Amino acid sequence: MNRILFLPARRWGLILSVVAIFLAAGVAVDAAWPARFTAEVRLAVAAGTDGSGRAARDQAELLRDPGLIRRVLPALRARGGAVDGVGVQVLRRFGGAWGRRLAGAGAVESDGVFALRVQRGLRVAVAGDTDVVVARFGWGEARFAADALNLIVAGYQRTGADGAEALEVLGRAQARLETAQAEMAAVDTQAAAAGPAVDPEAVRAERGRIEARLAGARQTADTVRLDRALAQQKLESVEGSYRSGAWVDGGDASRALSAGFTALLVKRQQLQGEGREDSAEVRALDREIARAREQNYATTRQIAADAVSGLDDRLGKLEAGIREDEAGLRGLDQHVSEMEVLRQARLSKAQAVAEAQKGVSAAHARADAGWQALGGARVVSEAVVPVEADFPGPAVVLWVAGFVGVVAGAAAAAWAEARRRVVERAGDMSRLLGIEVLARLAEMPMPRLG
Amino acid sequence: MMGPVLPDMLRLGSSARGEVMLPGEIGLGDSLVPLLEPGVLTLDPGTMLGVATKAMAAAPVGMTSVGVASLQHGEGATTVARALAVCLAQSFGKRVVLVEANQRSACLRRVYGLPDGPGLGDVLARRVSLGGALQMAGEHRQIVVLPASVRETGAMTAAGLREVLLELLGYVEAAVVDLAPVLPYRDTAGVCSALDGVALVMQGGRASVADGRAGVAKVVEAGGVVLGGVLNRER
Repeated sequence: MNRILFLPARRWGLILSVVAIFLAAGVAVDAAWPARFTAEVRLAVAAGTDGSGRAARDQAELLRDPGLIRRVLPALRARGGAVDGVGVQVLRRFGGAWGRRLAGAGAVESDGVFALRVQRGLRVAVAGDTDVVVARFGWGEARFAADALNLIVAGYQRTGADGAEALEVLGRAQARLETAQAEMAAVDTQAAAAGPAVDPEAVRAERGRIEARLAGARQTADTVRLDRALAQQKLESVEGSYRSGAWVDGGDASRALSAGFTALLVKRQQLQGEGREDSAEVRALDREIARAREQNYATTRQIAADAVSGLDDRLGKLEAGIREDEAGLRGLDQHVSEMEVLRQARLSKAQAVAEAQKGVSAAHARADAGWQALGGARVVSEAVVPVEADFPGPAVVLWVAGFVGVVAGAAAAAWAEARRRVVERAGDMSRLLGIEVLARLAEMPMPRLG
Repeated sequence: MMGPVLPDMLRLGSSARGEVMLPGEIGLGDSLVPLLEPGVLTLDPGTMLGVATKAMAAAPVGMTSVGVASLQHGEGATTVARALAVCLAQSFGKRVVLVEANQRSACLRRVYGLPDGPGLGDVLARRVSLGGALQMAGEHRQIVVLPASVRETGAMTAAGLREVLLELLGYVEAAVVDLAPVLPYRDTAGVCSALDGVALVMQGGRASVADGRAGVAKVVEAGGVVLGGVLNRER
């Protein structure tokens, strides 16, 4: 009994060594065979729209299509997928060709090998006679198992059955068509508001008429300007001769007045010839002659001034007409330009509408084809991250290794103790050790001293 | 080195007051130091007659020096050494010195209630004289104790122990050396060559045959003499 109680104290080194060996073995086991987690997805698969009634098994096989896995491979690698333990990685890295062969495929292999591993980890089955396809994916990393399975199923829905995506494309194409049609209608409304449609020939004829009228008006205006200059010159001549005192007759300013004036002058010459130059009659005649002279000048000047004024009025009207015609030409040009812009815009919108209609037609065709291949596959339950591993995880392995190690260590210690021969009696001392027994003490009731 | 300290000490040990007193130059003044109180040592010293006889036979002339060592800690070597000292004093009328050469697990000061002071290590290091480290053994006027040092000291050598024993020659007739366990410490077997013999203490049911053989071999290889064994807790 005493030996059993002292066993842990006496053999602690052996026990700890055995436990350490078992723990190391557990670590090695865990490193060589990492834990494996399995995620699951359920898909409801219906018959295709083409009426072929493709069986659920055929649909299920599409999930394991290498082409599908290759398509989603970049997304899978982006999510990781390295699951090898340290031991396997060390073996692969430093073990040479044999080490790599023993370690198997790992996270650093080529895309092809990685895809093969993914395909090996994928299990697809049909649940009984139903149209439910159950896909399971096992991997050493729980999150990757769920993510990868969801990616594969999503890829299956996108590529193996293109209907959903095609419908989305169709929807986008129809939206583009509606937008283009609305824009074209807006252009039409704007054109209607801008006025009637423009006939190029009519515009050209109208423009020619305006330009001809404008040329005549400009020519007339030039003539009037010349006449005015002459009238102005005459007016200035009348005023100049009057101011210089050389004014005698208004000429054709007033023939009647001029004739009366001349008669006065003749009468005075007669009186002067009669020697009656200082007579009251001659003086009255001189006053009348002066009065007639003033009247003659005023009348002549008024006539010249009226001529200038009349020419001014005419010239103003001509210039106003010219400006109006020029404005008409500019308005006509602007209208033509606006209508041309609208015409171009409408042409562009019409082209966009045509292209959108073409896209809608193509999307319709693709959607029809996609739905035929899809067969109405629908995800019943998505993959969730598995909590428990199929193969015991590191904690379980280490706990088991530790427990077995303790048991084995205790067994080893007991075995070693059983093999250990001790000195129990005085005879043992002399017989086994060859020394004389000097004293034999039954019990020493002393506290431990040394 | 020691000078006249030892004769004075021994003379004072048998003073007219009937008490054990230490000389002032030792440093403890006239304080009483009871070394062996009744009831502390329950081991009958008579059981050590065989050991004592063997030790006396090992050195029939001059001072007898016997070491007591166990194979491992806790096998009763110190208790045996104390009982052997009493046996030598009482049964053989010897003046005995009990040397505690077990620095690593020293306990004589605690067991005997000795005050802190210089010890064997200090003597070996020549920090104090031998007389400055010796303590009287209470009513056992033939027993003096050389306890281990309080402070840490270096490993003990056979030459150092032999020098100490030579200085005791003529003043005591027997020296009982409480040694450290043989197996854990290398220097224990080394000092055995300075002694007339060594008694190995083994605990029945605990000491293995292999350990016993190893202990004997270590002592012999170091030049020591194994007088025999003391079996404690015989089954």
